[in-house]
Amino acid sequence: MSDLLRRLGGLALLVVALALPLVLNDFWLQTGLFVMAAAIGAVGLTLLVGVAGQLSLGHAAFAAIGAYVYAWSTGETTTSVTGGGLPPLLGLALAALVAAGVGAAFSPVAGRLRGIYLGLATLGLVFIVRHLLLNLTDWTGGFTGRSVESFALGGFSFSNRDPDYLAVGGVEFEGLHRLWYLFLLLAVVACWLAGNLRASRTGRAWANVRDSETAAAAMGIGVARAKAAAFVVSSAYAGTAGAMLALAYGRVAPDVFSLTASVDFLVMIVLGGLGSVAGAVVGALFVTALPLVLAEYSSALPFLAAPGSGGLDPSTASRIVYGVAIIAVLVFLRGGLAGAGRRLRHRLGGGGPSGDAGTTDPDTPGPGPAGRTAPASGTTDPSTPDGSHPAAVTHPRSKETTR
Amino acid sequence: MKHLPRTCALTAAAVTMLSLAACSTTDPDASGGSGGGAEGDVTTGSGVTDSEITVGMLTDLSGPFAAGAAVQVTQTNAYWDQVNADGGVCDRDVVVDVQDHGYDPQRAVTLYRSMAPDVIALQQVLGGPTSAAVLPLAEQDDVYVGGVGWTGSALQYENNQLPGASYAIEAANAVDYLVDELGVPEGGSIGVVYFAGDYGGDALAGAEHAAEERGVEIVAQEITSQTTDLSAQASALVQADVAGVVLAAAPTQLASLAGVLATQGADVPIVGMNPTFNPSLLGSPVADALLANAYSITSVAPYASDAPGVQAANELYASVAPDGDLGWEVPLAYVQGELLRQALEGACESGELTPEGVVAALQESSSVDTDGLLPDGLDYSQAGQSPTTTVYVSKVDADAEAGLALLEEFSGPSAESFSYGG
Repeated sequence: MSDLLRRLGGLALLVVALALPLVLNDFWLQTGLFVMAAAIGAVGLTLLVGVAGQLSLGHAAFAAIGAYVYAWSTGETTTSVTGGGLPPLLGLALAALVAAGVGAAFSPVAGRLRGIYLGLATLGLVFIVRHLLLNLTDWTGGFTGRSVESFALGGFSFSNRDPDYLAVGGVEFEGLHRLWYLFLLLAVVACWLAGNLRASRTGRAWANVRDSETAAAAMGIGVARAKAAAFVVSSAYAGTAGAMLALAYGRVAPDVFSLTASVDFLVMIVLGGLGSVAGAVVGALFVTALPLVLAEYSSALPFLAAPGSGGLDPSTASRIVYGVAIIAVLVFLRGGLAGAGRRLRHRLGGGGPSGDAGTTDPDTPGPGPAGRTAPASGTTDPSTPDGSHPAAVTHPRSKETTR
Repeated sequence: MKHLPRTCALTAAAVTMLSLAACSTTDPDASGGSGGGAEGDVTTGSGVTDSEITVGMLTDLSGPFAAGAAVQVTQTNAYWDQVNADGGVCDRDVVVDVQDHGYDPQRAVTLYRSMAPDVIALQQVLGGPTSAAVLPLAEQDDVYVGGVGWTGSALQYENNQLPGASYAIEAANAVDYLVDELGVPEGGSIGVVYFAGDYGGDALAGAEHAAEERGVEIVAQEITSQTTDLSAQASALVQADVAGVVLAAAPTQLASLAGVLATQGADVPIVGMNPTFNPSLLGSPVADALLANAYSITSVAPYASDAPGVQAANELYASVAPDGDLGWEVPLAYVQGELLRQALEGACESGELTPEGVVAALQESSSVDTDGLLPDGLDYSQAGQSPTTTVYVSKVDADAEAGLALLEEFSGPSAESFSYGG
C-alpha cells in the first residue's frame, strides 16, 4: 500500500516536472538545469561517501573531467583549441566513461586509504586537474575555457536553433526548455539506477565494507574490488554531471570546478542524509538554488539591503542561511533531511509518499528504529530479508563512516 | 496493480498524442515583423518602454572586488541620473538594474537569464570567470555587454565594447616606453611579472611581440594572485640584470616587487598595467620605492588628468560621494556609461531601440570620442582587434590626486603593429 502511494506520488511529481517548462521563465529554467546537474553529481557522491563509506573531496575533479571530455569530443577544431567533432550523444557517454576510467585509475589509492586520509588524497586530484586545465591550452582553452557545442540528437538540437521555432501548447520551447527534458531524463535514469544499485547485492556489499571490512571479507566480499567499484560508479556520475554543467553553461572554465564545488557536493549529501538518493536530490536543490533564488528575489525581501548599499545583502544572507541550515541539520536532524522525512512518515503511520522527492527514490528503506539513523551511518539497512543476498550482518550500531 | 502496464501504455499514448497535438514549429511572429509596439519612428525591444530604458549591471558587491565595484555602482547611478536630468536618451529615462553575482559564474548566468528579457544592454559584467560565462550567452541573444575588463579574449565577442586599449596593447606600449623613454638599451632585458590567466597571458603576449620588434629580451615570471611575496621573482630579475619591469598583477604584488627590488639595490623602472596601482599604497612603507620607480599604464585617463571628461567625472563623483574612495574606477564607470549612452543614441537614431540595434550601433561606430576619458577616435568596427593603440602613461606622484600624475598619451610602434590572431 505504502509502495503504491509512493509510486503515485512519484508519478505526480514526474508529471509536474514534465509540465514545469510550460510555465517557468528563463531564470527558473536555468536554475533547474543547474539543480539537475548538481543532483546527479550528489547522487554519485552519496553512493561513494554514504553507501560505500569513502570520503572524497575530489568530486569536482571528476566533474571537470566529464565537462572537458564532453567539450573536447563534441567541439570543432578552431584556431585556438582542438576538438574531436564527435556526435554529442557519444560525447556524453565518453564523459562518463573517461571520468570512470580516471576513477578506476585512482582506485588503487582509494583502496589503501580511509577516512580523512582518502579525503586528502582526493583533494590532490582537484589541484592536479586544475593545473592540467590551465596548462593544456590546446584542449581546454586555458584560463578562459572553451565554448561547448549544444546537445543534438538526430538533427534535433537542444538549443535555440534546429528547429528554429518549436512551441508546445503555445509556449515557445527554446534551448533551456529542450535541455530541461534532456536533463530530467538523465536525472530520473541516474536516480533510478542509483536506488536500484544501492538496494542490490553490490550496494549491500558496499554498505558492508563501510561498516566493517573484516566482517565483509569474512562474508566473502572482495573488499578492494567493492571499494574500486564504488569509486568508478561515483566518478561516472560526476563525469555525467560535469558534462551537464557544461551544457547548462554553454561554456566550461576551470573556475567552475574549484575546491568549493567539491565541498558543495559534500554539503548536499550531508544535508540530504548520507546514503539517501532522494536526500541527495533535495540537498542539491537546496544548495544550488538557494543563493540563486535569494539573489534574484532580494528586492522582494524587506530585510535585505540593495546590493552595494552596505547592509545585509542577498549574497551574504544566502551564505548565512546556508551555514545555519547545515548546523541545524547536523544538530537536530539525524540522518539529514532523508532521515527526518522517514521519521515523519513513521510517525504518520508508516505510509504516504515523502512528498518532496519520492519520484527519484523508489527504494528508500522502510522506517527503521530511530536510533539506527545516526548521520554518518547512512540509511542503508542491510537486514532486508532476501535469501540470495549475503548482507545478513546486522550491526546494532553502524560504525563511523569516515574513520 | 495487475493492469499497470496497460494503464501505463494507455496513459503514455494519451500524453504523447496530447503533446504532439500541442506542438508547432511555425512561428506566428515570423511574418509579423518586429515585436513590441512602435512608438513614433522608433522600434523598441526588451527593456524599453515609452518612458524608460533599462540597462543592466552585473557586478560583484560581495566577493573579492566589492570595494571597487561599489565605487562604480555609485558613479554609474550618478551618471545616469545626470543624463536623465538633461533629458534622457531617446526621450526616455535610463534606469540601471544592478545585480550582485558575488564572483560566482553560476549566479552570474542565472542572473543574466532573469535579467535579459528586461534590459536593452549590460553596461558591465565584472570579473574574468563571470564575464566569460555571460559573454557567449549575450552574444547568442545579441545583447551589448560593456565593462568586462581589457582582456584580449573578450574581443572575439562582437557584442562587447572594450573601454580603451586591451592588455596586450598596454604591455606592448609599456615595452616601447621603457625602450624609448626610460633607457632600456637594445639587447637589454625586461622582466615581465604576470598573473597566470587571461589578464597576465594577454599582457605577456603583447610584451613578447614588442620585445621582438624592439630587439630586447623578455624575462618572464609567472605568479598567481595568491603570490604576495615576490622575493624569489625579484631575485631572478636582478640576476638576469633586467633594465625595466612590466607588471601585470595587482597592488599587493606591486608593493612587494617594488620593496624587494629596492632593498636588493636594483634601481629599475616598474611599469604596471591598469589595476596594479592603488592610492593606498602611498601610505605603506614602500612609498619611497614607488615614488622613485613606479609607472602606471592605463587604458582610461587617470583621476588626475585635466581633460574635461575626467574633470566632469570627478566632480560628479565628489557631489554624490564626498567621502568615497578615489581611484581609477571613478573615470572608468563614467566612461562606460558614456560609451553605452552613445551606443543607445546611435540605436535611437537608426530607429532600432532594441538590443540588436544597440549592438549594430556599436559595430558601426568607428570613431568614438569621450572628452579625454579615453583616447580619441576609438574604432569598434574592427571585430577582434583593440579599439585603439593609445594608452595613458602616468608616474606615481605623492602630490597628484589619487597618486598618479599623467605624463603623456602614448602609442608606441610595437603597439601599433600588434594584431590579435596575427
